Amino acid sequence: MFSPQPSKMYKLYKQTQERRSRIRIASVRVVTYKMFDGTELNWVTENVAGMAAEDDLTQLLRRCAERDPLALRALYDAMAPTMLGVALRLLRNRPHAEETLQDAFLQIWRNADRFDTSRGSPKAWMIGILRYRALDRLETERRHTGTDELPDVAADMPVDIEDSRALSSCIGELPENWRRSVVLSYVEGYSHSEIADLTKTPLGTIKSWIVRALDALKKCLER
Amino acid sequence: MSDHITPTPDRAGLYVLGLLRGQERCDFEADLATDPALSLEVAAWEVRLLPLSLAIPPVEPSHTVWQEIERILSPRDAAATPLPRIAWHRRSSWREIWWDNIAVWRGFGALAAAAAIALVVLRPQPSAAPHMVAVLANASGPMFTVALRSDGAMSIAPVAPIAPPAGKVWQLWAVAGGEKPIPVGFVEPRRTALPRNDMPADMRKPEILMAVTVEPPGGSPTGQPDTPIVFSGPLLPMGGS
Repeated sequence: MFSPQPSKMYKLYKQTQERRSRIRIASVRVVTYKMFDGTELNWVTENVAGMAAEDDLTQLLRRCAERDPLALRALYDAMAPTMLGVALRLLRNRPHAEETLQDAFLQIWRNADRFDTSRGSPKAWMIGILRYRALDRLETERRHTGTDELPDVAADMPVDIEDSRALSSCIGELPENWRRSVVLSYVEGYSHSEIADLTKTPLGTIKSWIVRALDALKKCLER
Repeated sequence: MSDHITPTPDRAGLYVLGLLRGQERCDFEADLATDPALSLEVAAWEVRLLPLSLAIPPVEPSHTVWQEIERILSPRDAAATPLPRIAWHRRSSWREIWWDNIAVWRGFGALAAAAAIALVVLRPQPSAAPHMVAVLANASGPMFTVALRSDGAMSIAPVAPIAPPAGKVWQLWAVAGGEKPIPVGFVEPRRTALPRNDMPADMRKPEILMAVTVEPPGGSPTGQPDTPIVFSGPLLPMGGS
């Protein structure tokens, strides 16, 4: 089937919603969307991060590959808040983060046919697209501003990563120093030397912590 | 976990963490473009580190973000470049507006160019993007879209649910002006992928007409279309390719 009629997409979403509500209560809203052509569609949505099921996202990506703009909107609803959260942590600038989010979705639309389920999860793929764009921006900007004006984030370190999903994973098993270094790079976008400055730790030690953290994560997940 | 022996740095892991910068990152991305195993490692790291991204509190985007995405993808704005439109002899539906406006395809081409380096690096499938497209239409509007890759592989998708007459098949032809039609393959009621050699190399160029006729199963017994064309449309180049 090339693309769903709105009623079918609605049904798909409704099923998804029912499946989700069995797991936990999500904040559900019904939104009327105006599509590219002006047609309207009532959509059931919710914005709890990470709630969208991977197989539904895979289906939506497939429909994007078939040039179905409704599917792009559905993907946006499912993932944009999570992705903006990620971009904001990296860029610390809302306009820049929103521009990056926008670029990422244009790229997702353009390249949906390149998503390969055997190579990863749709969430990881979409967040990856956003992250590499944000990192590009970060590199360009750091080159201009230098690293002298870095805020002392070590003080407000609890990155809200004390979330059960992350903690229950292998990341939560890392020694505190290693995990903090991983979070400062992956979540906050700091380089090795910036992390060394922020944590008042020798650069070599930071590099070693990160290499060991990666090694431990890999082994933990292979267990 | 040893406290004394530091393992060999995992470049894919460092890359996904965002710790390869400048030249190191460029070098890695160059390797990534040519090394499928490396890109699998990157994908694996993206999944391993995903819980950290999902643990970041989500932030609702301003409504202008979607509006802007919609504006960029909307044919109404892409039509700023005056380009010939395919006439459809009836009121336009959004699918037609979307599909028949070549400016949209050009827009995609421009986007692709802008993102090309990162993409080739991330998902190294250089020939996956369509090289040319065609919209096969009849008097009531577009029926199928054809995407032709530069290596000749073709993907054909119906615009809306549709099936050939009972007991018949749709046969696809490529027609150069004044020449005999060349049989290219069969069109299914669902998305169909035709292998790369089915479309002759000398027919992979703009303005070649892609046409569909209704034929008995197995295709036209004479090797030439025996019935009138039911849908057709010219191949059009994608901008930037």
